Amino acid sequence: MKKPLILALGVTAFSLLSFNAYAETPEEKGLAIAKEADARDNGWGDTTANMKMVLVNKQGETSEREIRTKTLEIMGDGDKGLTIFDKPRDIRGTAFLTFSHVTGADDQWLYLPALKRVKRISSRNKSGPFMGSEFAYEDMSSQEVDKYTYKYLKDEACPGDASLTCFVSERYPVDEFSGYTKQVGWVDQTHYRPMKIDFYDRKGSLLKTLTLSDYNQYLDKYWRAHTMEMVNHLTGKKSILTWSNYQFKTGLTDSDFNKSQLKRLR
Amino acid sequence: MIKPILNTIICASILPGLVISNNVFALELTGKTGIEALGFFQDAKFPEQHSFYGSVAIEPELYQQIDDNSEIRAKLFYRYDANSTSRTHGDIRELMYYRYADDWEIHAGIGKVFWGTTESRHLVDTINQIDNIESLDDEQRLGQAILQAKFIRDWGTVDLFVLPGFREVDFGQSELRPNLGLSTTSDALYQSSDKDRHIDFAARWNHTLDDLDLGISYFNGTQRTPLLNPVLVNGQPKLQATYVQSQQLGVDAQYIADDLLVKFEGLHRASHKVANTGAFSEYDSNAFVLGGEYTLIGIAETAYDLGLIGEYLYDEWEETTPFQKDWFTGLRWVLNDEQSTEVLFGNIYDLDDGSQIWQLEASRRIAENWKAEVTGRWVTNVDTNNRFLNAYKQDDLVSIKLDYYF
Repeated sequence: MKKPLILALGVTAFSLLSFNAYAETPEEKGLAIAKEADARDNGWGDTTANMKMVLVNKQGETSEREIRTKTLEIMGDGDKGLTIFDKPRDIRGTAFLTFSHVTGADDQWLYLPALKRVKRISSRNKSGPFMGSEFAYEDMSSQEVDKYTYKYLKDEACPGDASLTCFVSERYPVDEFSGYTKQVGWVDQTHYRPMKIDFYDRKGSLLKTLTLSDYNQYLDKYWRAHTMEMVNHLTGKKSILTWSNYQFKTGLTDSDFNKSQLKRLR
Repeated sequence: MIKPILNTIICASILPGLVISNNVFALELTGKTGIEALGFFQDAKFPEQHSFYGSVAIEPELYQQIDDNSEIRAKLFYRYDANSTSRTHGDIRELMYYRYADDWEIHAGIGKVFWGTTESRHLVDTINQIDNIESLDDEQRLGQAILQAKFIRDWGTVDLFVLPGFREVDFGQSELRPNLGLSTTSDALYQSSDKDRHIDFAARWNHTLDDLDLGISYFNGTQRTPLLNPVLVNGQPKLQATYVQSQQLGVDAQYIADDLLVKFEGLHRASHKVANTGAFSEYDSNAFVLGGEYTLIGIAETAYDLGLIGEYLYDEWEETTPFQKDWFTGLRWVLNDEQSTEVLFGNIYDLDDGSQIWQLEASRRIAENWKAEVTGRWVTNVDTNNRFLNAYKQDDLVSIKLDYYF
């Protein structure tokens, strides 16, 4: 049964080729793209970053929010995340702890500094606005392959950078409490970075568009968008996130994401 | 005043180690200041009382990091009321040294501790005395001297407290509105001969078990809620606040069943009663609050959330609370808008005599650093035998607060 190694490799290469050319369904290809993007973003360990969010209403009036985030990569499950609010000042010191899970509801706690109270909250409210912005809680939570099913559509020049070619795929949230029926994503074929996502609401109509830009690479591997603009097509409002001071592998551990630690935050 | 002390502490903490100049952290000052208009609808019960009270308040917070593992936090409070000497008052809410390690902490100083889950009543929350002047609904507490050790383990978090010293409830003077209707004597009666220097102890374990958050607490010391004993002073009837010794075991729990939060707080007290003669006798009692909050998410295709709250209140000890058998109905309307607008409406219905307390709270950010808050409270159908609610019968109120955050 033994084959010369070189022949075995040749057979494998041939079968992959034929699989790609003839047998891979759009669903399989969509999933493969998501898995590749996920694989390329594995192993970052932990990150901290600062975020500024500008809310712009239809009249062009703006208001600002500032938060700091800490994230711990959890292999085999969703990540752990900590969000500390600095602005507006009336909610300064409020902190939000999330253990996201691939299957089932996330665990979430909110710390209210004025009352020195840690409050466990229900995580079913995924579709609700994050801090009054056009971002929903589910847009801000950790993106896991198994949270969606996929369907590859086509290749197309990337929005925002026509020199790159993008995979265009649809993905459908598995969670019945998602605010969306479908998302259409543009992912660049060189680095597998999301460039644009269209969000379709429960009635199936286009609700919002997210554009990701100003990508920087960290640790020679991990790409992070520093500008994210979400436009709501129904209300004409938009929210612009600007990320700064990204740090990787800062030595965060599980104990930094214990609910008892919320009161320590500053 | 505070800065020299902090500098001394900083120097003291750095001197034993390396003297690294860039390791000295700046003192951070934040906080809020604001105005409050408090108005009453009915005629006052007492000639000294007013129908309007106007005041300004300030609540600065100071933060001083000492090194990577220790810090000092302070929160001071002061209100000046143009119409009331009782409402003109201040407090050190917090002046605490914290030392942190991975799985333990030490806190020493003056501070605040919160225990509990339910909306209508903070039953098991014991460490801090109520700020009776500032509180419309038991949300404001006085700073308490605390020495606390915290241990964070896989099987839960354990807190051990030594509480030296005790804060009496400030019932204010006769111009304060609302007040109990009978003025209190200047001296409180204590069961312990240590009076307000009795050293209390407390402990709490809390843990998350899947969808259940559970806490078990123990307290041994001066009961925060006083008994109000009628006494004659120069032939005039007065109330004497009496602080008894108590041991209590508390449980607080919250279970998440999808959009429904099930909440419970329960208490067993091994405490004391006091006779008119001043003699103390043992008295055991139980109390609990059981209920839930169900949230309707995104009602009528908006971003609005509507929380429906129902809680049953039970307490065997009639002298300390009006909530023997009561039902709380609450509506929480969260608009999820840019201004963080929230409205909370509540009603407590006395299942024994039909007396009712109503409260409406609304808050909204009105500019970048400004927040407005309106609270209304009124009572209806008050039974003549319900002495707690009778005290508030002519005191339907509205409070408007405007706060600037710095």
